[in-house]
Amino acid sequence: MILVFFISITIVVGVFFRYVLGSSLVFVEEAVTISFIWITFLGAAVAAKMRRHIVITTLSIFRGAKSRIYMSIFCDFFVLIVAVIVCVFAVRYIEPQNRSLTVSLPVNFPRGWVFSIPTLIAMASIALTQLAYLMDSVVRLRGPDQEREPMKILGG
Amino acid sequence: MSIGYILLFFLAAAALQVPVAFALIFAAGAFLAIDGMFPTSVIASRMAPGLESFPFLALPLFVFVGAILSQGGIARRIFDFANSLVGHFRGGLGHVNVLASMIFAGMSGVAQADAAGLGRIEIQEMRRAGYAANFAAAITAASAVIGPIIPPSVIMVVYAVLAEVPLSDLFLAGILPGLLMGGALMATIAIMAARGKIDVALQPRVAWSGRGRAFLRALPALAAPVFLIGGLLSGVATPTELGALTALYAVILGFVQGELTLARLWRCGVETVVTTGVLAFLIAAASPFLWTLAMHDMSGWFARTVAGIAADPVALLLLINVALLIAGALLETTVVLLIVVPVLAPVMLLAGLNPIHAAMVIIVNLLIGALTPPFGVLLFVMMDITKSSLNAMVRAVLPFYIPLVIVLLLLTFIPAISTFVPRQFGTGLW
Repeated sequence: MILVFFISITIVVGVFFRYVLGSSLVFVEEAVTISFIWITFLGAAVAAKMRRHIVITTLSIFRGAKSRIYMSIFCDFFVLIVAVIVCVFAVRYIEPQNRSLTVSLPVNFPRGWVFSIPTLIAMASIALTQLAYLMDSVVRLRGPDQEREPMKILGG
Repeated sequence: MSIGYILLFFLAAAALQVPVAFALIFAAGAFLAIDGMFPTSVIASRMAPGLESFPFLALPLFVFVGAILSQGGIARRIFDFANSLVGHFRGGLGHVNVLASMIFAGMSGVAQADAAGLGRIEIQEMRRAGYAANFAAAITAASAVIGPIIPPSVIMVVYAVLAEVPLSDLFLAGILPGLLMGGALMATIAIMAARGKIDVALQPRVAWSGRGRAFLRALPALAAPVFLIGGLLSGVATPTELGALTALYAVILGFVQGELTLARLWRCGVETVVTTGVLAFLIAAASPFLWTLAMHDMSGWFARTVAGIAADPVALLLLINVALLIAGALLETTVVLLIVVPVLAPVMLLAGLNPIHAAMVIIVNLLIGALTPPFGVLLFVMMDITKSSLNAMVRAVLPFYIPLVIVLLLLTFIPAISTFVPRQFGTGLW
């Protein structure tokens, strides 16, 4: 949220420096791109919690409440496994990425913080979210039939 | 191992309702693991670098602008101004609906923001004036298609990054097709009104003094598209910079007019983060998938497969039109873009098609798909607002497919509609 404001204001300040003060701020592009990567991955974790990630429902064959819960368990488990695998791979890349630094920021820092660490944090958060959803589904499977809130479809 | 398996893995996971982003990661990972030519860990290393592109920053900025503008006050002023101009014609509020959407499109880059924000006001006013709820919803959904065609446009940001086309040129290319679509929809409403299909009492013509007052009230909002399109035409700033300037302008405007509070601003920010988290994460997740396709020369394979058709650019475009209209009706627009653009863009280039022309044909096509049953997202937004059934919505939207498809065919056969403005004011590459 704060990063969204940071991106908007930093770019505007960059334009102001270029046209009004006649000198470009060299760090603007790199700073806002890094912020964008963090917004994307943190937003992906929040979207997973809100079940906002895009799902193709065209070929849905699951009609009953019970089979929908089974399907939901399958999908949550699937995403959990993918997220854990990406976490494991992301950890491997932190060290080699940290050997190079950002280039134009006032204080340069290791590039692992730009690429692998946001990936790792988002995927770990998504894995935990999926685990919570899985436990919730199992509990509901034991209880009376209930409709689960459907995943929303977003568009561009 | 045949590269076709990666598509099979993706489709299998997506068909089982795994979120598309994770289906893409899975498909790339499974293919790389079985193929063994590259390490599977590539899936983690390619994701974040897939977002390292300055034009891409326009995505959260225009989503943010759309979220602020959907708050109500600005949309209401635009509606009132459009009403003062064309509300007195037969089928008046239908024309107002289209004109307001065209103005709003100059500020917002997401069709759903148009349909859900301005759309609510349009439908409410049309029902109050005696228009059928389904007709009001249908014209709102049809005019919302214009939103991502007239710049700014989130879908164009995604296309520009995927196909490596200058975003400013793509934005400029949308101006004429957007105006053409608006004109075609208004012509359809006029024909329907003349044939007695819209049976509503005429509104009185607003005097010039009233129009002047409506214009002054809407002026701060009208300044945003003028400023944005002026900036693009003059080339003083990049689309991303214009996105940041427009966002700041919309925030200041909202506070000055007393329609934006800190709490609302916070909600807009959260909505922006979540929408970016969905759309941009989809791109990040597609990066290892697309990298794998590129490493295995998928575009080359596809080009060789359709070599006979690709020799005739018109036949190729017609084939793409049919395929994408079907795909757009079945799948979400960004998902289709992610899969088809990296494969189709080089093929279209080989066939001698202008990249900007091809881009506009694909984008307009997919947006019409967003209005097409069974899964057009705009239909569902409208069904949510009006509580109509899908059947009733489809019947009401049916007459509006005709002008939209006519415009699509004009765009297909007359490249100048897309390329004229970028040639005059763009990067000069076309």
